[in-house]
Amino acid sequence: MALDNVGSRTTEASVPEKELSDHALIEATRNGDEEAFGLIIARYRNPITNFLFRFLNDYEEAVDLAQETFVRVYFAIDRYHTGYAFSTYIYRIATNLAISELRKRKRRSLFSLTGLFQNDGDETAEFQPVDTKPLPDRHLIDGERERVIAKAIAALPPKYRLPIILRDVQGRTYEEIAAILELGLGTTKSRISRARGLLKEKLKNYF
Amino acid sequence: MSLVEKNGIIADEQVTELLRSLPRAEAPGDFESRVRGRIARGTSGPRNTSRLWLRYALPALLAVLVSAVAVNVYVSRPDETGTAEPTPDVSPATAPPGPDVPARLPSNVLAESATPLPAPVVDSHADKRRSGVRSVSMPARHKASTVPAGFVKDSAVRKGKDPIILKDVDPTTGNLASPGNDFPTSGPLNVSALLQLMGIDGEKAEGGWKVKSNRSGSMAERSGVKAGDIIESIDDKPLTDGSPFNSISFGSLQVVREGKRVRLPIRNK
Repeated sequence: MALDNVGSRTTEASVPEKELSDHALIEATRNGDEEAFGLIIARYRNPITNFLFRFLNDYEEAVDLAQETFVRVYFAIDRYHTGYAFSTYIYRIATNLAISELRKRKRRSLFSLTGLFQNDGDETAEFQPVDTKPLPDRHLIDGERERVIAKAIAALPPKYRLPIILRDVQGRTYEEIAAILELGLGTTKSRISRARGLLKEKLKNYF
Repeated sequence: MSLVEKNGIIADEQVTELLRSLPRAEAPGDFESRVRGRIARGTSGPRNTSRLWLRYALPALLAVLVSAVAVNVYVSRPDETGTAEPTPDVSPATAPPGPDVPARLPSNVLAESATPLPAPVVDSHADKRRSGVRSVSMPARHKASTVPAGFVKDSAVRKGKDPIILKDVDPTTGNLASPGNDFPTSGPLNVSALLQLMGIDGEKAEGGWKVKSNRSGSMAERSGVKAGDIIESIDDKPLTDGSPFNSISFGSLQVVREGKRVRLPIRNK
């Protein structure tokens, strides 16, 4: 498929950029069309960056891992098959990278404390520095509000944090989240519900 | 935005709205160029490949090295149990020194007049001692009759177990062959072995060892030990403390006989 005029102006022989499916762009990339891959990047760079940022609560790290995600997509482009959505594929790569980064963080940390929530069996929460500021009242400024929410999300165990971000932040469907995380649909829903419950407990004192 | 409880329940939708209200983080302007730069450098996979090899290859290499060292140490360690069969490369028995024979003799001399040399006396145990092979393993106590005379299991002596027969001890008299002989000085001697040496057949009893019988002509008999005596100490060392004898001068025995303590000087000859 010729994509020479992609992004410029539409012609009878070309398809508008916004109508090009992910699979079409992937196929074009396989055929050597670098612009098609550029469109893939443009289409997913912000969602992937945001997803990783909300998961890691670290913008620089999120950008770095987002770049790594696309690099991996590029080098594995021949192995990708269209049996499932490309968005599932790229989110899964990003998820795996994020989990690996968490493991590295744990190894680097000197100690760990229980998080903001009660932990069951294998649930672990990242270490959260003690907040020495006085408890905020209900009139939070936006920046503080965002910080509190981000902190609450970051304190969730990864198995709850991932699905809640994909659902409530990224707006993915339950089915797609189940495919990304390779979980059953019921498990996915229950984890999202559990994550919301945990967030309620933490955030109700702030809002 | 607030998570006000309605009827005591905070709806999930309220949490969802809160999360959706978060500002969206965006990729920086040079994001695509950085991605293409990484692709051009071929930097796919983990960002820190050097750490990969440190994480996986180096530990694996160390594990292989440690295993190799452990195997080497295990293989080369000397046999400590003394149960090994004699090594196959034991030097053959050498003939005792015979009459001086000239280096060169006419063959007819040897053939006609040479006195047949006595058959070499094979003392394989001596040879093993010379070659550094440790004592032949001692069978269990109940197999004492099959044990060659004159040997004691070093480890058994050191552990205080009963050696079966002591070196160079006349089994009929129980006497030591001579001073400076091969009296087992390789390790301490436990009570039972010492009593055997002295010709006493005894058993543990309250307060010491009870003499069941003496060998005829033994050191014990000459010293006046009698059946029924309870030996409390030898050279003033109690027999009840469980510790072996590191040295002994065969000075005296203290026995209890018919309720009375009697000190008996030990008569070796």
